[in-house]
Amino acid sequence: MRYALYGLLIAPLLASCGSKTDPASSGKGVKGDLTAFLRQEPITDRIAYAKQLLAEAGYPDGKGLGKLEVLYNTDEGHQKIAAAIQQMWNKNLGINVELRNSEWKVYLDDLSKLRYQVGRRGWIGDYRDPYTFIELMKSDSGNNNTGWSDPDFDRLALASGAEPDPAKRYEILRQAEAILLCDLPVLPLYYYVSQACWTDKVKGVYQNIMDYHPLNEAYVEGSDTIVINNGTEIQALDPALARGVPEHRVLNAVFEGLTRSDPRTYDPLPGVAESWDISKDGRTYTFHLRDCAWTDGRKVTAHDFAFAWRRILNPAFPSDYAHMLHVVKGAEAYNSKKSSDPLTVAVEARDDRTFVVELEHPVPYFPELVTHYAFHPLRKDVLEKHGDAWTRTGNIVTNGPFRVKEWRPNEHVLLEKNGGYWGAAKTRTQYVKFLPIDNRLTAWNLYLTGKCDWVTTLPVEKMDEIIKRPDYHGATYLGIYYWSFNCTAGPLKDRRVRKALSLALDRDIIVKHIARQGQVPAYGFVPPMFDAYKSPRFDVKD
Amino acid sequence: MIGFLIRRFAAGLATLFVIAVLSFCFTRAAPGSPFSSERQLHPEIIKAYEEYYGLDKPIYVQFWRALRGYMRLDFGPSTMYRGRSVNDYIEPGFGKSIKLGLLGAVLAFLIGLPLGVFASAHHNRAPDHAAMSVATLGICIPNFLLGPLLVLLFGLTLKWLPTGLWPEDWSLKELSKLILPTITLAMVHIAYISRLARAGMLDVMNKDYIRTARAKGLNEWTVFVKHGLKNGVTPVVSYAGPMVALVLTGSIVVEKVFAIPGLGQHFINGALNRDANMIMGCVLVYSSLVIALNFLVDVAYGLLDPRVRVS
Amino acid sequence: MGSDPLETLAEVESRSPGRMALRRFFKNRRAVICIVLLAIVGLATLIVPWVTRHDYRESDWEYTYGKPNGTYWMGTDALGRDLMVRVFLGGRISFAIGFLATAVSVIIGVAYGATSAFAGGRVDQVMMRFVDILYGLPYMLVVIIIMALTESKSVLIVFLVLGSFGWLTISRIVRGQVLSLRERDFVEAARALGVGAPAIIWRHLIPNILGPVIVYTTLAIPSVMLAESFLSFLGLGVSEPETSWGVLISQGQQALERWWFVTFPGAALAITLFCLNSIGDGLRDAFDVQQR
Repeated sequence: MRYALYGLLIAPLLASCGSKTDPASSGKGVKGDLTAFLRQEPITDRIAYAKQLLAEAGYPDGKGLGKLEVLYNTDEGHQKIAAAIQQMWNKNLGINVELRNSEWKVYLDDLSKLRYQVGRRGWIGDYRDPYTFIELMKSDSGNNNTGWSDPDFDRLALASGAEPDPAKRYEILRQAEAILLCDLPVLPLYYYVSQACWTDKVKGVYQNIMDYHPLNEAYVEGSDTIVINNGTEIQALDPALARGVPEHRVLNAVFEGLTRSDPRTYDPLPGVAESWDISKDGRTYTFHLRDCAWTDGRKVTAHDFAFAWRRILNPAFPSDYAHMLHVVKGAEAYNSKKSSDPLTVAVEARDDRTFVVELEHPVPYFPELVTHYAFHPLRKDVLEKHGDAWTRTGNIVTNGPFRVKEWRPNEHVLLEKNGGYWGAAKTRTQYVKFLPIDNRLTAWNLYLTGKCDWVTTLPVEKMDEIIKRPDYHGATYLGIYYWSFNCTAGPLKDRRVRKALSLALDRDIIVKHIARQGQVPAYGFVPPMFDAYKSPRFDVKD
Repeated sequence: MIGFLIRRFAAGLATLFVIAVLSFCFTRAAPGSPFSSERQLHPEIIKAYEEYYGLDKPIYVQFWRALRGYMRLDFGPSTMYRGRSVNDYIEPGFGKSIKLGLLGAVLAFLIGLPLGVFASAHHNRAPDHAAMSVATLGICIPNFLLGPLLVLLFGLTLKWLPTGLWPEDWSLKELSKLILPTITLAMVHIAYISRLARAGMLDVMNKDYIRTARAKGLNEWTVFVKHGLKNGVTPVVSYAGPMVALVLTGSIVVEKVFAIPGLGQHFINGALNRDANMIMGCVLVYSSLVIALNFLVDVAYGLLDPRVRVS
Repeated sequence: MGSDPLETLAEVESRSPGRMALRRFFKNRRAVICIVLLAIVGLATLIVPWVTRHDYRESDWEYTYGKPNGTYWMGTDALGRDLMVRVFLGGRISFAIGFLATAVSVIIGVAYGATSAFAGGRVDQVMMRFVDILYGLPYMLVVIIIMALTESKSVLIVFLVLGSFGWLTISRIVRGQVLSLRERDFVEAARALGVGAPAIIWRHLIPNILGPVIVYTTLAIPSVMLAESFLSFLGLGVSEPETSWGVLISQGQQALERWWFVTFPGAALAITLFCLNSIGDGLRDAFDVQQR
């Protein structure tokens, strides 16, 4: 069923991986058509070619390559895939592979310090634009973790920011991706599928490509409460301190930013800002805020946004998502201490209901970007009054469709409908209860016994039967599951070795027999889910 | 007597202090940062985090600050749960673990002791074999297997009992949520206790003073209980100290399988996320319990067998 | 063979307590059967992987999560690998770790507990406080640090870790037993005779506490086998494609409907445990000094 999607989604263009003498025109024109694209070479051909590459690189039949170490964080899913990779490289290329599993922090440490050879990775897009995947592999990106850098790639990535024409911009990004796929510091495996189960009594919730479900219009037939398993205890209710998808669900239910997301399409809709004007050069946004209030009655003003954005950019304030605001002019300078004046950040509360933002360069996805909780408004007086304890029930003041009724640490977060919210007429449920259960099987059992209406994480071992259920909701997800190579040491320095390793994996087996959730095999990096972006692929012979 | 108590109390505090110092050093020595995540953080931001949590100060300054907090029973801010104190998690967690743990310990003794003593009274005959097979089963099936089995059987298939979560009130229906977790928790200890009791009783019942008591004409019951039991349960008492501490601080497996918001998971999550204050909080709670219980065990030795002088 | 008293004494002594105990043990049918059973299981773990035609690493992609059938007697796992060879291979590791690590713990624990109780007074208090300290330390963190320091995940480190924490409870149990024995007449008699402390501990005290020690040991072996699976979560010890019973069981419990995942390693563990317990009981009975 899902393989039909594969054909529909992927655009019929190929990129060739020719010499890198002139990236701007290295044969990256249109080649082939949809049918040629779908007609992949059989795996045996790919393996033969991989063997050939390996021999060229000086390791005929894998001899002399030594042992390859594969690192992953302990997890059933990763373990199975690692074991499969081990088998395939052994069988197809004659290479000895050793598996090393580490617990989370050690794994992160080894990854960032490049103490690995092949490592498990994954990336979910922050916003719906190919750039969220391209910026990942820039030389200065903290998330690169491969030791690979290419000045042309960096140049193109940067240039995409300055290009106002969307089509030309996509072309620049595509060229950058083509360079990436030529060198293959990454080992793409498959594109993610987002999964959840909710009962047929749950309404107003839809799957979309970002796996994000605003709760504004959700409700459970016959009950005043939606019980959702969030998958983990939330880290914080302070939007600037939080990080993660479970936090996203709660934060965007109790807070609201300039824009909010459409439940079906994820397109940005007016939130606190009822409209906005974009300047001709695409760099200045003027948001016109509507008349709406916080839970304590005070009106939401542009000053609340200016305060919150400056707070998160304050270099002394520890926040994981400050970098999301770097598109704002002066933000990065202030955040990295090049400038010490918060007023150099180009946000302005022109009056209580007008908020003006100036960007470093045009950002086509900016209205969508500001739905993220890093951009939510905050009340300066509340934070000053309560300090670190401002998020406790009783102290916390929010402006979204729900208010915090009770937060029992590690037991549940109970939200209540906020009658004062401007769109309260459309809020259909009275309460939302988030459970922090991280064991997927336990959560699933609670779902089966009716104690939970909606589970956001599903037990991997039961996926085969769950997928067949009518209450299963899966959709393609804007994310890629990949493994990365440490390009700085040993045989992996040679891109022929990397390409051989990548070609020798049978992704159909991995997707069909191991991952088993209808994922789409990945032969490129940026998920081919953007209408106008023609994703290149790497598995074509040179 | 008072001297004994004071000395043990002082010794207990000293032990706790050593544990605190060592554990504190371990939390800082473990590789990996509490702030690392899949999304790499700028080094400036990591520095900001470390300053915010006081982790940039020299270690003895950090320890002194922490110590002052421990004396107020305040374990400090959590790095996992930003903006909240470790106490916010340990207090409710401990409360629940203790309740479940007490139930489990009581069940373990209630079933284990009589089972073991009964078996020893019918040494090497059918009842003995039967009882010990039952006990053996308790260890055979590890708790991470027993829990899911019980859930599958009683929760999902027969639908007799709830599969998890903590009771919301004192009604029978809500309290029934505790049945399966208690059994899972107690099972392995039932096995240990019954086998240790049986072994201890067998050793004792063959001793000369028992034969003397019988020769004196005392009935079997008095012999058994008054003379035999007191000495026979010593191994159980020795096992009880650490066992009760373990059970009271929460079993991570039981918590995960039955979605119980206890203390055990904070221990594990704290260690996995390098949340130093969370780890220290859990360590101190657990160690205090162990020390207190071991003290009670030593007192019990003295009560059970007057010849034993522990100090 | 005369009426020489010294010669008769020598004869009696040749029937040493140890030998008599062994004779008593082998008269216990149950225990002997269990020894044989255990030996069979142990040998199977060595022989079956050699003899079987399936490789423990080889995946049959068409038959993943396969029920037991003619080709795969115990079914296949998530990657289509034959479970029978994996169960027996896993048995090797579980046996090795279970027995060796427990042996280390018990030796240390018995020596420590007996010495502490016999010494009594201040020494006993200090020694037991040391045990308290080790109890209180965060186990997981210590393991993580040991792994970081040694930078290896060899089985030796597994023993180090399991051994260094495993002896604590047995030392407490032994201490409890010895405390009650310490004041007894035969100990006083030995002391009066001028027998040194180590000899008293070794020849008089330890044989009298063997009961609970043996029982605890037989219980501890399977729990050490399971503790090893927790370590593999941290990355220590067994890693793919190798496996152990603990790992197989913990993987299997996630989907109990696939009963063959859990049943075979679980049964193997249960049989081992059962045999060990019977053997332990037999040993306890055999060495019981008071039994006639």
